[in-house]
Amino acid sequence: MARGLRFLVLILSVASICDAATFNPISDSHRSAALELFTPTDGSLKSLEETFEALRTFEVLGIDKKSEIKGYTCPTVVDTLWSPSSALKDLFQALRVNGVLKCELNDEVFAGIASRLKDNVKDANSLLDLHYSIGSLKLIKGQTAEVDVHLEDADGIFRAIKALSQSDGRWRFSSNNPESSTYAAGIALETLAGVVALASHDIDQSLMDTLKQDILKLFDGIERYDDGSCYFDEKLVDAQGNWGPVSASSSIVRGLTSFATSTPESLNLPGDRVLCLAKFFLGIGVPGNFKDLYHQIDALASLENNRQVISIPLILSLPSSVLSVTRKDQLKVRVNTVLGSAVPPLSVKLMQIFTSGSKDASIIDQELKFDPETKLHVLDALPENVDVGKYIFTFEILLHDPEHKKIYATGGRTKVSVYVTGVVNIDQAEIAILDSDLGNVETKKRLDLTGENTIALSANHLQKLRLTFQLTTPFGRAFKPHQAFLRLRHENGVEHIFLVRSSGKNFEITLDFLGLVEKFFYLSGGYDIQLTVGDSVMENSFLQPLGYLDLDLPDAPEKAARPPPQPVDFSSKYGPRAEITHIFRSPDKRPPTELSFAFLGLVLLPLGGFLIGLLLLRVNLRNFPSSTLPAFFAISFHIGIAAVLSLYVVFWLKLDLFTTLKALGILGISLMFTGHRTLSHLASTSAKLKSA
Amino acid sequence: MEKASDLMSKLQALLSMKAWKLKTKQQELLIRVSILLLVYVLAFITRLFSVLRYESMIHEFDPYFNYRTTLYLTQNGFYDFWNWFDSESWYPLGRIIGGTLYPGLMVTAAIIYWTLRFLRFAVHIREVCVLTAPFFASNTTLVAYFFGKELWDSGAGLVAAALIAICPGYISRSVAGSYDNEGVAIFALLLTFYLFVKAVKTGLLAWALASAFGYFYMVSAWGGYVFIINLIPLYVLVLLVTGRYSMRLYVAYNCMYILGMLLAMQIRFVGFQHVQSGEHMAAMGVFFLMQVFYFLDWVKHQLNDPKLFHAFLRITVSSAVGLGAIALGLGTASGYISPWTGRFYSLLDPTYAKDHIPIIASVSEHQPTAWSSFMFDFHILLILFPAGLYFCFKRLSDATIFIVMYGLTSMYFAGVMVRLILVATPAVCLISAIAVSATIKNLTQLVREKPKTTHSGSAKGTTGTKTSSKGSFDQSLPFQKNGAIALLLGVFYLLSRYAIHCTWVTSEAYSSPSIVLAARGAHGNRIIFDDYREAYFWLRQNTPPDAKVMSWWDYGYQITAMGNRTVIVDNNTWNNTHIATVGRAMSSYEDEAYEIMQSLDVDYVLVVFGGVTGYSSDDINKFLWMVRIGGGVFPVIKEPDYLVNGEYRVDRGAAPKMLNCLMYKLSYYRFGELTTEFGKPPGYDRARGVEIGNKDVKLEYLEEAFTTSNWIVRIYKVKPPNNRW
Amino acid sequence: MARSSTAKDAQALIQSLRSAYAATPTNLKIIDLYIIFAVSTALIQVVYMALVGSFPFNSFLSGVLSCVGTAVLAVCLRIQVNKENKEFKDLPPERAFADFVLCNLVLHLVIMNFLG
Repeated sequence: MARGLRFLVLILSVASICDAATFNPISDSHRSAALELFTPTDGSLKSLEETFEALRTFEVLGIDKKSEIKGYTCPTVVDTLWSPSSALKDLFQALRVNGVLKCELNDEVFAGIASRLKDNVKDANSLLDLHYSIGSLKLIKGQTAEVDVHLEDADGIFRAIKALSQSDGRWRFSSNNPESSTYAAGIALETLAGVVALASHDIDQSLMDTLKQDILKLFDGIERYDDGSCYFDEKLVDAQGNWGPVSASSSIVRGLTSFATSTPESLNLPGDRVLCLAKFFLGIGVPGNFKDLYHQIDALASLENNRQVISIPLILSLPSSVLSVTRKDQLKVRVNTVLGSAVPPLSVKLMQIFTSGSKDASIIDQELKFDPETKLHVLDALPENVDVGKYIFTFEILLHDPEHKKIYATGGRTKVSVYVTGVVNIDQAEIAILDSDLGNVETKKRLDLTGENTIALSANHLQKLRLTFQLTTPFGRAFKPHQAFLRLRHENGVEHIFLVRSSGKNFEITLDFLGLVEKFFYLSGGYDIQLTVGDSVMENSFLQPLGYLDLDLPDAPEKAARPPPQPVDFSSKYGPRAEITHIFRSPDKRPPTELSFAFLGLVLLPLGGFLIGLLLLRVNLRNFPSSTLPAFFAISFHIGIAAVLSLYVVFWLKLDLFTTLKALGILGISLMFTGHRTLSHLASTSAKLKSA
Repeated sequence: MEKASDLMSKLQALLSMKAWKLKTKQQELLIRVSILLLVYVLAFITRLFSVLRYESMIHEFDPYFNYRTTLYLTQNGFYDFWNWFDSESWYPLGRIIGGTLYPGLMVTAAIIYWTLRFLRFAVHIREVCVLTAPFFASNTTLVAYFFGKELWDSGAGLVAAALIAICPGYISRSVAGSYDNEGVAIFALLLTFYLFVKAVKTGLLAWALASAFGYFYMVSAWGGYVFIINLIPLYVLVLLVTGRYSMRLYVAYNCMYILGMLLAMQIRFVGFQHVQSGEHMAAMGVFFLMQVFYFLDWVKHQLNDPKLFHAFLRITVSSAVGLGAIALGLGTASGYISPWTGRFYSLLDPTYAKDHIPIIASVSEHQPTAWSSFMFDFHILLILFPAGLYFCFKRLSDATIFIVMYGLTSMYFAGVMVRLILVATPAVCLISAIAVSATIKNLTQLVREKPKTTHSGSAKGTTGTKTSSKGSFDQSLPFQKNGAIALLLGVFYLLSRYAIHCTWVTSEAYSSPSIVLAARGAHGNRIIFDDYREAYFWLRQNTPPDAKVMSWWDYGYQITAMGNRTVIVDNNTWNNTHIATVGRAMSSYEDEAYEIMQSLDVDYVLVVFGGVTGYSSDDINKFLWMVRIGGGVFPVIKEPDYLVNGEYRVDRGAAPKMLNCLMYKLSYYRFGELTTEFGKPPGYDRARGVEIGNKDVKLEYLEEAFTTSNWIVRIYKVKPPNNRW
Repeated sequence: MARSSTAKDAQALIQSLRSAYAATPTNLKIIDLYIIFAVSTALIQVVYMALVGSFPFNSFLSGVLSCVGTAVLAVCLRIQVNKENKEFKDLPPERAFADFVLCNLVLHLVIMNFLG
């Protein structure tokens, strides 16, 4: 218990409140991240697709690297476009890059590609093929006016794409792939937008109507986070695993805006959906890989520059969410679009203030003053009742022009969590030694907790130690810090931590040493006293030594627990642990090889002795059968035994038991047969001899 | 009834066998084979009560481990099984399964399973496991027949087969579902003994080899092989001392010992014990003694001169004894030969375990046997046993000496430990069979002899000489025929009572699977409590796969097998300290227990509680053993703290430590709110018949996760550590 | 005094043993030779073990037990084929030899498995 406390002292955690997260618009950190992530390797980016993504990101973020990239990318683009065997995807990417870079190409190329693409469109059946073809045609249309890229059978193509849609608003990639994807829905919408733009005549109105229904259905399946952001989830897992919520949501946003811009009529999407999608993209922060960065930036750009066919989200943010009452900080609020650009005239109102952790709010309804120079909305003074602590401020954005309400999405009230900090007053700090029975004050010292203290006290086990102090906020209210601990540390490192409890402003702890002797392991001697008072909103949190206490405790009885061994440095608990050295069993003692070989030879000696003995005994093979058949059996019997024995050797060397047993079974049967024949032959001959 | 009639028919067959023997050998053979067949089937079906009554499932605790390992064996093959390191038990130590079990049972079941699969029978491995024990019981009857035939005559063999088929002492360990080592081990034991007796009788290496293989199978199946490796040398020693040494004995014993020892060493769990542990030294000593004996015999034969031989004897014996004593002393002193294990000591001295090893004493199977359980398991065999001994002594041979020794030693061990009744059962059955067979044979002879008294002797084959002389001696007695008929009827009555008793015992006492409990309701209907499986299934479905469950070791195997979760301790009680740690946690206050559980990484605690149903073998009743085992290693736990005036109670007068220890709290959490029986206050414990003392149990570090429908199993989740006050 | 008589006894003993052994049939002598061969091999292994320790204990055991087992089986064979033994009069030596071969094959299969 005590040990756990010790570490809390160090960790002054700043807890974020989940339903009041702050979303900051795109900033310079994104620009530096983009430059870092889209660095060309070996002079060029990996692929045209990547090049386009980089170009698009730079374009949106306002980074000018076009000429630099143009130098080494244009040859690839021209090559790709000239080559008749380029894949659809490469063509599409090359055209996209060309759209940004404007490489030198003549209309002949475009005409050739356009006719090829038109053929493709007719017999393409997968969504991606259609997407590339139509996207390319649309790009050609944008890059040259000379080539005819109009689609005759726009209705048919539209239907073909529509046929891949699912009832929940998602799309399939191709007709023979049953799995539907959110990412594909975005692609499909983009493609359909292309079809509408390229159509030589108007698309059938009923088709458009059903498509709008699809889009609304797609938005029904939107997923939400607690902090007010929402996203499209991707159920289908790509083989490369690079489709996630970011790419899916981005694809939808791209498709949606391009579709919305290509048709004259409005989609009637609710503004809060758009805002919450924008919040999702902003909530990612700065992504760590370039795909996600591209998706984020591209989607946000699409949302902002959508020619007002769907609502443009406005983002409210605070330059600093920590306000000090001591320094009399002003509450400043900034309103931007997602990419951080200017907004129409508007005013911001502070509506409510929630005290963190409680439901009750104080209603303020105060308009913030707009400072045109810094483009900030400023509240001069914080409301009276805002003391130190954590709060949730609720703002509302009011657009001045009623027309703008249709164009911009403000999302009603915005909640922002704010820390109000201040210097806490510490008064009447004193430490005293009391007599246990009567409570008489033995010694009493005043402390100045804002400065240095070096007091020396002494006590025995019949006495008590009392520490008191008061904490008040700048506004004179009681303040209860997150941490208030008293620590006693013995010379030899054993330490004890006590929680200082409070009642209102007063903090008091009394240590009755009589009851603590066992906890103190009967250790007499000097103890360092240390007091910790800390909180995240307390500007003058401190951890300081108070002095020294000489404690005289009785001798330990025999059975008393020993103090636990102290770690050398208590912060080492979070540091690297001592390396574990594995203790392996030491290999058993082996004799020198020469000795072993000598004994091997020695073991062979008796064998030699045996053979010599056999000779001396004049052993003969007289009994060996002479006629052919028995002789054959006798020989094969011996061969059989030899085979079994050699099988054993092989078993020892490499085989496993089961293989051996199988082989042994086969050998054994033949051995039994031959053995039986041989031995019965011998028996019969000896019987004959006997009877003869 | 079926058994009774079968027995009758068998006995009739025995009679008719006499009558028909002279007419045709074939008829006799036919009858014998059909009787054996019936006995074979009978032995199987009488063990199926539990399958019919409940379902085909594994019983008890240990069989679940065997089942789990068998499953692993069939799924992963032999080598994986052999090298299996099981991390799900003995957390965090784990267990090397292949090196710490007797694989015979699993391999047997797996071979049966593979064979059936090969023959295209689509059986599940569980069915094979459930029926392995009955199948081997049937095989045991065959062995018993041949053994009886070897000992006495084929009649005694048949009686022995019939007796052992339904003997409760054996059925208790071999009903369907009791998938335990003993199921196959008794078969292996009897087979080894039979083959050894056969080897001694014939003096053939082949029989000795077969006996060694039987021994190998026994070693691979059960730790009880130690009985064989001590009984056989003892038998050899007795033969040597009584001057019955023969070359046949030499051939049989030496071949069997050398090959059997080598084969046994292939089982990793046994390993080098044959040359290192004190329990096996007797066999080795007898082996060397045999060599010396043979050598002396040979020298004596060569010399043909008593005086020279005595001189030779003096030189050799004195040097040999000196050398042997030095070697044994050195071996023991240097720790090379390990001392005897606790279980072995407790065999020799029944009070040893109680004083020294609580973990052995805590198992009810290891308690000394009560007379009632002898009667329960043997019934009339208990009376027939001395009679059989009498017959054996009357016709002493190597074989009968063997069975007498087997009977006497195993009866002694059965008296020491309840579960060794099992080992005694075959011997008792065989000896009793000799008594029954000999008695009936004598009596029927008297009955039939009336018309032609003088030919009684000639009617007998190889074995009848003594009985015939007795017949002629009894001739002068009046009413001997009527007396014989009366006695025969008496024997039949006794045997039929035996059959009825066996059937009753089997159906009532030995056929409940203990994992599913049954009780009689108020109206006489059967109520099934399936709480164990409910709890294990809950564990399997609702806890993370890597959750560690702490429970008393009894339930360890079942939790790993059925719940598929890691346990801290289980029924393989190899690490006393680890078990003691769990016992300490259970008997500590909650905060102390929490620290222990944290150190063991425990996620869930499972306790078994019978207070609602009146199920008496629950954890509260086992609790004193936890205290004792825990206290044996950690002296902080003291048994008197849990007792009041030496009395164990859970009610208001219980010791304060008892009322606040973890086990008490977990068992009785929220129990104070429950009314278990009409007319009793809430919190009335039906298993112990008292109102509990601490009705307001508050848990601080654990929370109730699951309690089964009859409260038999209660599972608690250990809360993660608090991070603030 | 006792020592010298013991020595004398031993001398007489060896003398009479040698003379008695000369009468043994050749086939038994072969078996005896085989037994001596096995036992001396075992003894050499035991000496080796005493010198360097029994570390691969299974290898040592299988080596020694292989020799001891062979010797014991050979003794069994010797008993069974010895015509002077009345107990085995009915047993043909060929049957005894077959058993001997079988036991040896099993013995060495196990030895090989145990050798490591």
